[in-house]
Amino acid sequence: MALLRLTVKNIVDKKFRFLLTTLAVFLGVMFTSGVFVFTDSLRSTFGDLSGDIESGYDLAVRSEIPFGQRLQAAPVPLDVPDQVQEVDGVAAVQPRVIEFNIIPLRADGEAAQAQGPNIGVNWEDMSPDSRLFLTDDGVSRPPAGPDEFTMDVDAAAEDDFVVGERYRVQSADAGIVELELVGTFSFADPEENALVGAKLVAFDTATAVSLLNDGRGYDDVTVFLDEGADPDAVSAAVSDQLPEGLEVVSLEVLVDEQTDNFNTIVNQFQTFLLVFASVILLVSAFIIYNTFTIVIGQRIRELGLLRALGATGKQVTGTVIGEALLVGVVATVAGIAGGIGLAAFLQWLLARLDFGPEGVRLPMEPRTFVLSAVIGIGITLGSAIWPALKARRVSPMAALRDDVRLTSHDVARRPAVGGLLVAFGVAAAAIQFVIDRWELILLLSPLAAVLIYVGTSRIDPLLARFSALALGSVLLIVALVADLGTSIVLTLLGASALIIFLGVNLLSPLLARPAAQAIGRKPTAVVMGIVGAVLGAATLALLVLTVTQVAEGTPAAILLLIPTAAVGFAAYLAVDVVPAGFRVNGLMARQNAARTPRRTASTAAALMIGLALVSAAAVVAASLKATFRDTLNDSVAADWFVWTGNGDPNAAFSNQVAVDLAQLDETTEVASYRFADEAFRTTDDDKIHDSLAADLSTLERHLDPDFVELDRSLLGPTATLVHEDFASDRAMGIGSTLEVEFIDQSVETLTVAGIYTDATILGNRVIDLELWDAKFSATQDQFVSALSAEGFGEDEVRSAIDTVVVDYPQVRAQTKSEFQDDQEQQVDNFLIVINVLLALAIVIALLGVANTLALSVFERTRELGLVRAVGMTTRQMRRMVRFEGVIVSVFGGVLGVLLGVVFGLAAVAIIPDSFINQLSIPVGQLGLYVVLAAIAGLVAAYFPARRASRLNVLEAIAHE
Amino acid sequence: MTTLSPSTPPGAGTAPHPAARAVGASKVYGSGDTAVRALDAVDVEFEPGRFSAIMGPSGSGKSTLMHCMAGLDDLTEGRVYIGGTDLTELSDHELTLLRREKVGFVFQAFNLVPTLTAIENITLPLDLAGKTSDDGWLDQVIGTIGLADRLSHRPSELSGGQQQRVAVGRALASRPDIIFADEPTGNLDSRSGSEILEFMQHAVAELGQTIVMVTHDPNAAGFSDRAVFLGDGRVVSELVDPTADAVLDRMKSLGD
Repeated sequence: MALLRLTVKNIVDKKFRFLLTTLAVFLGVMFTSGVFVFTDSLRSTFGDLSGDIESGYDLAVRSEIPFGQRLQAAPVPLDVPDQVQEVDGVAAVQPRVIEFNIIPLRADGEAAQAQGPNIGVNWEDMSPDSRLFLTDDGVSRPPAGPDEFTMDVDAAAEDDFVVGERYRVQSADAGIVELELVGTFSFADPEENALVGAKLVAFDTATAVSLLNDGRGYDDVTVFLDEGADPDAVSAAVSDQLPEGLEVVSLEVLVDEQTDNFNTIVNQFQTFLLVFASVILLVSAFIIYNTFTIVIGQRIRELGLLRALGATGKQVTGTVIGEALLVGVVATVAGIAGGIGLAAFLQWLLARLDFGPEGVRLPMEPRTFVLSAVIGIGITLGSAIWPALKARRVSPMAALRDDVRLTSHDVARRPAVGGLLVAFGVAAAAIQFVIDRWELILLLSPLAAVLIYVGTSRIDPLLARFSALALGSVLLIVALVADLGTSIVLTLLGASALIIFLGVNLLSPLLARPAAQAIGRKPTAVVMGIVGAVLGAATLALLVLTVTQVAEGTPAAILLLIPTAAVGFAAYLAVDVVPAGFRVNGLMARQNAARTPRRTASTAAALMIGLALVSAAAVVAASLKATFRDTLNDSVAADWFVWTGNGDPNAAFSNQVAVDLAQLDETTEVASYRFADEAFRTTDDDKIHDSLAADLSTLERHLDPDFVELDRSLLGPTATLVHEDFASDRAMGIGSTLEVEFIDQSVETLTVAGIYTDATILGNRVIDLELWDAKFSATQDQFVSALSAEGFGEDEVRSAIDTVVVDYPQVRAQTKSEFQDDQEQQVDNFLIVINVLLALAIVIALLGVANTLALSVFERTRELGLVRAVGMTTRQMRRMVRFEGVIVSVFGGVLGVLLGVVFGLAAVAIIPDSFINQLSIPVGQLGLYVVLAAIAGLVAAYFPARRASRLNVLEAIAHE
Repeated sequence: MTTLSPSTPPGAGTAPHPAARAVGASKVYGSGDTAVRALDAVDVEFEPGRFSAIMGPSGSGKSTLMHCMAGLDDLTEGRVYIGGTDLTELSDHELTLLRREKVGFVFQAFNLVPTLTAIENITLPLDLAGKTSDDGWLDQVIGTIGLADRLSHRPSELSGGQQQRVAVGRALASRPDIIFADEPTGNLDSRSGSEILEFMQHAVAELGQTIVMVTHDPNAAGFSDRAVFLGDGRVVSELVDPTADAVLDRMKSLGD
């Protein structure tokens, strides 16, 4: 009981320390639980939405597809509804048509584009339970005939569509059509339009079939049963009536499929975010470990006193564990609350962006609470356990003597036991390659690392320090060279990264002393001065920008003052710290960093992890861009690229664009491209492959994939071009055949007409457009390329192309170099998303730097008082602490960048050549990261430095 | 000599300033019923070029007096001067600069920065001020403390006596107007303590320094040129050229 009181008192006394430690865990738990609550809410929203989208009817008739996307399925023949209507027990049938990328044009000619998809459907005029509710505004009526359309009420309001006016609408097959808007409607719910970010237009059924499905049929036919009819019996009866290739399914099946579709996306999103959550938690673990180690070092006399007064080692460990437990519980409770808040905020944000339903819903799955608690409390306890075990070894003598240090005790050397443990560790590491399960790798790799570390430390402590790095490197090399599945390789990469981080952390105390001595010198200070000058110039520029913007009547520009102030503050800190490089306070700063190499190393380690990941991402992105640039230079032969350019793989536009472009005098050879994720299934191994469809005969002149061999005589509708890897995997050569099944269940034998080496743009397989048209119902183009005709300048061709695409405002015409810039921009955008997420890990690492500095300021109170007494000014004191922050951060930054380059190289080596075949290390960018780390160190040191400079000299000298 | 905001004390005339002076110096801790008057209108002067001792039992206010006169603590009432400078009118920053340039310190323990070598500790105030000593003074100081072969050692590698010699060396290095020593021998055995005290005597006699030492040890006070006795926050007595026995006798008589 007394010890519990002591634990509580320790926390109450050291609120600042407790707060910072808790904050680190809190942020990790908040992010994790926020991800769960948010993705659960997405699932539940989409679950409801699926129920809204698919409702009212009992059965549906549709094409049977063995795999692939339903949108690309063959249409249901036009006579099916009549046949189904004849079946006993059927009350009504409603054929349905749906097509994406059906966009109405506003009065000013701009596309009324949705945040989500733009969808075209048919008016459900035969349905007793239509999902479309006509707006009761006195003017709206359902569309009738080929000259009319309706749209959802929110889209109409947003883009100022007026009922009664005529508008142009992009169709799938007929290009632009001009129709009269005859009404607006609400989807699924007459009160509230249930379209999450989508915009909807509706035509009468016959018009929809012709505009959206090229007159070929319906997407499905829904069936409403008579009261009391037996669904199974009716279903069987309908089934008997249907021609080959159609199937009958129940409403439940459709709702489930719809939900599954959504959930697949949500799950991927969730995994992606959880990866970042783990990074954050890993960084938090380092901070907790560090804090508890330092704190026990500081409390060593007190712990010694406890021992002298009769506390057992167990009890001493208990007080430390108790403190960790409290930190963990408080952080977890606050973190879960914060996570719920975060989820609510994200929902609000999505609703504001028109991408989600109004009103916040926060599903609290027990899983969220259990996992958050296990993670939050588990990580805190796990990180504090080592320091706590050390605490029990504090001797009672510590209370009586001044010079006791917490030393890592010498492990008795027992080579036999050690050897056995190492053998177990190696076995654990080896076993994971035999059992091909990624979950086991996550479990076995760290276990192997611990076993090998503990084992080697029984043989030789120095050897033990190298053990984790060695194991991590071996795993990395195995991941690189062995022929393993993608998920195994990725897990192995992650596990090896984790173990290498631990390995470097074991080794970096050996590095910290010389590194701190090397970093804490004039050159660093001079660089900080230059950085400060640059930031100062940037501040001025921002200030000028703000003033001019405000003067030009953009009052919101005043908000620019926030980044201006931030940059200015960083500039001040950077310039201010310069004198430390030349004075004794700088010497003291580097001596302090070198004094406790272990602490400096593990503080730096937290920062190292964040920067390693950011740097690895930078190396991968730079290599990706280099690959793109290379490919685009080598293989892009066409002069013009016409596409939506927004990176959405499903964005497509009417095939009329290509037809119209081909009519121009200024262009020759217009080529269309379409892509399917699940294009066909190779019948011998039942594997489903993606494929591009293009005009094979002209491909070389547009997108040259660098053919190893191309036999033009083999080209034709059933010809295919394949990447050399795909060819070699299947031992195919020119003239080889490939039997594949398409989504419409037809089987074709394709002939390999060409083998190429560059998969960056084309992917691994290309089939002929003619074959596509025969097999897929989706006929819109995703991409069109064209050559300039002889004798026309770029501007002339551009204005000619613009006359065609002007009706498709979402479609852009780009030259080769514009296309190239666009592609690179997309890589950059992706990198920004990654960096923003990793920034949170770095922010937490900075809390760690601040915490360590604050603790070491506290630890050195008397020393600081002394130097103040003999004439160190408050400003020199602040510079000293800040310079130490810079030293620690630069050390972590440099380690992180170096490791990041290694991981980046590994990732580039693992990623298939079809994505990345060039290696590029962005030296400038990585250098910038180190500079940013230095600035971050300055910011982290701000409060500890302030605290140090405000110490009362007399009290400090008297401080025990 | 007074380069730092000279403000001549009233009645000082043209005579040279005392090295340090307190006029009606009072220090009260707390307020109301719990107020403790640590210093009660103390008037005292310390002449340049002399080795003075402030004596008194625990709680007599001797340390408070030293802290206030050295600019480490502020007074509740009254004024203190270093040379011609009125400390009570200086800002915290000016006080820091004054300590750096005109005042040297020797504390009882924990006198040195553990991460700096002996020589780096000695030159610390100079380095903080960005000054280099080029007139041979530093060599003279180093020669006097007699640790030439241990200058590159860290404090942890020096004995307690050696550490205090380095501390005195540091106090001398910036050639301050006055050095305050707070129980400089408190943590030393008697032999090392005597060495330090002799060394301080030597610094006053040979190098012309001014030292004010706070101590409760009559033996230590016996090394000084003049001993001022404090009791209950007041100056109660004074001895010129004291011996240890004389100090002990005086303390006994004051205690009665």
